[in-house]
Amino acid sequence: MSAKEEDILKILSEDLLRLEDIHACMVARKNLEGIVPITDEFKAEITEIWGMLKDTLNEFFDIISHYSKYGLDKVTFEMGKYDVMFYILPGSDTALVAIVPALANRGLLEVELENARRRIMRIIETE
Amino acid sequence: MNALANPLAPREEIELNLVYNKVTKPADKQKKIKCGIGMSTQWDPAEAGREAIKKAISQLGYEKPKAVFVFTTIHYENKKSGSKKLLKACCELIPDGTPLIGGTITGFICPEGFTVRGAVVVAISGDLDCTSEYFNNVRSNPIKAGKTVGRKIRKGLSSSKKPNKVLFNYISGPKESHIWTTDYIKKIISKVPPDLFFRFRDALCSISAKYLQEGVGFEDIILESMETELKDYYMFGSGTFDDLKARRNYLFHGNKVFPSALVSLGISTDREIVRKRYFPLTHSGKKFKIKRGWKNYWIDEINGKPAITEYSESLGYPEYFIEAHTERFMHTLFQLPLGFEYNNYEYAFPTGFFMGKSILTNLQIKTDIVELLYTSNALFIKSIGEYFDGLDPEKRYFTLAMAISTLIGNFGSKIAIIKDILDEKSKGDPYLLLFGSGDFFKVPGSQVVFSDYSLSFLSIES
Repeated sequence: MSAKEEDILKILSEDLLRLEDIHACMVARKNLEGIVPITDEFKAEITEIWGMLKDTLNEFFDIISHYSKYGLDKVTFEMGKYDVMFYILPGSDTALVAIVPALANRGLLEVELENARRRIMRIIETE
Repeated sequence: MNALANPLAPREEIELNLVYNKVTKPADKQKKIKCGIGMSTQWDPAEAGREAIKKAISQLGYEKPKAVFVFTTIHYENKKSGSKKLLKACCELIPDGTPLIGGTITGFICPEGFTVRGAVVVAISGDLDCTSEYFNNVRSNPIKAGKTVGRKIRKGLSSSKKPNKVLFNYISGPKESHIWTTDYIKKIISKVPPDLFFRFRDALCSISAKYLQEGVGFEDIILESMETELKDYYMFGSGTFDDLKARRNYLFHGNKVFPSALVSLGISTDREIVRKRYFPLTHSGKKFKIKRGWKNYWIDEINGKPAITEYSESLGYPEYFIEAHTERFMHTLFQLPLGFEYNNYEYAFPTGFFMGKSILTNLQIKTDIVELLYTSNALFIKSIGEYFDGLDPEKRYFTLAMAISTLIGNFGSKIAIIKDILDEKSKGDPYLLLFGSGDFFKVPGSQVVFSDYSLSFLSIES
């Protein structure tokens, strides 16, 4: 794993996954290629439905890769007891993805997800 | 150990280059008052406190701070004595006896960033006089709390010859009373007839406040009793809050942490003070006649009908929807406050807590007519621009601003837009926008105003 990937993983594991309402998160593209913390770090509730969520996530990456170039910024879908939030890394087919409880205060989570996306972009853009 | 208490071998001091009074940034020499603002998002409370105060102090050019504000999100309290550890770390790096106040808030924006998880420290140095006070268990006797602290602050600054006086107040904001939400109480509430319900409810409110230090914060009562002592003061501040759950909040004074208190810092200065309040809401024109309950904090009836029945109908939601989707509906309600006008000031409050068929607010409703209002992110942003454009361009200021916590939820990731505007408009001068529970506004000679949803600024000339 490169130093940049390690830094991004640190943001996922230490900044986001430690928040009570972030059940899982990753920086990924289609087929969940990318930087995904070990699933042991995800909250237990998620592991039961992880397989189903993975399939659904994949469908959305098609939309992201199509519309990212037009400035698509965020996508959220609600599935049962969970919301899945995609924070697209500008102009790419990759997104910071977070799975949160449907009843969480999405506004507060958005603030920290935006912070994380910005930090990730800074890491990616660093020479 | 205090970094200044042992000047011979303070390892921390050497590491930090904290040589107070010896290093001064040349560009800052003309400033009579300096302000440094540092933030941290470290999870460990002590590390967060240390990091934030180091940054703040370094911006003073390592001058001794005369006063320090510490605000944190509620996360540090998830660890045992987390806030205490954070404050201890701050206190170790400032001279003994430096007034320090603050508390928990939902989030903040400062030049370094924005967050709903972290700590921010404001350190002020230079030509100003300061004094701080606190009153614990404030809900037991809010009038006494306001009067006592007001009197002590006035006494503390009585020898100061500087003409402009500002009082910064932070008061424990609303906390959901845990006895109201027990299954047993809920069962009783659902069964008692209306007349008995109100008596039962009023008793619960009184018990919660007096003995459990929970429920509404009585900010308006405290401020109004304080005002009689401090007519010539500017006032600024807010209620403390948590991550929008309204379960707990804390106040800081020195290295002490209180769950239900009033903490105040008075300053006097001969520098210019600019104080302005905006009300960035749009009026719907939809007005309701209400019947108020328990100390004017409850709406029991709207247009002669049970409050929730009429309120939900007027918003176009069937009543059962509110009961079935309380959490989701609350988020919507935060964007639909109610308001009223009183003595030429506009007030607004959220309507997010219900009991029986009544609606609880966090401020005293002063009229029988209230209006449905809409929050407006556009107006909020416009107000920021208007305020900074109105400051004297020849002078330098540092600016503190207050807004209601729920707005940070409304803005979500778009909070970055607010930061961009603050960065642009403040032209490099320090600023801090806090999201707390309501906003306290007062200018010398006028009444104090406690309202939610207003956006209020205080700038002090550097």
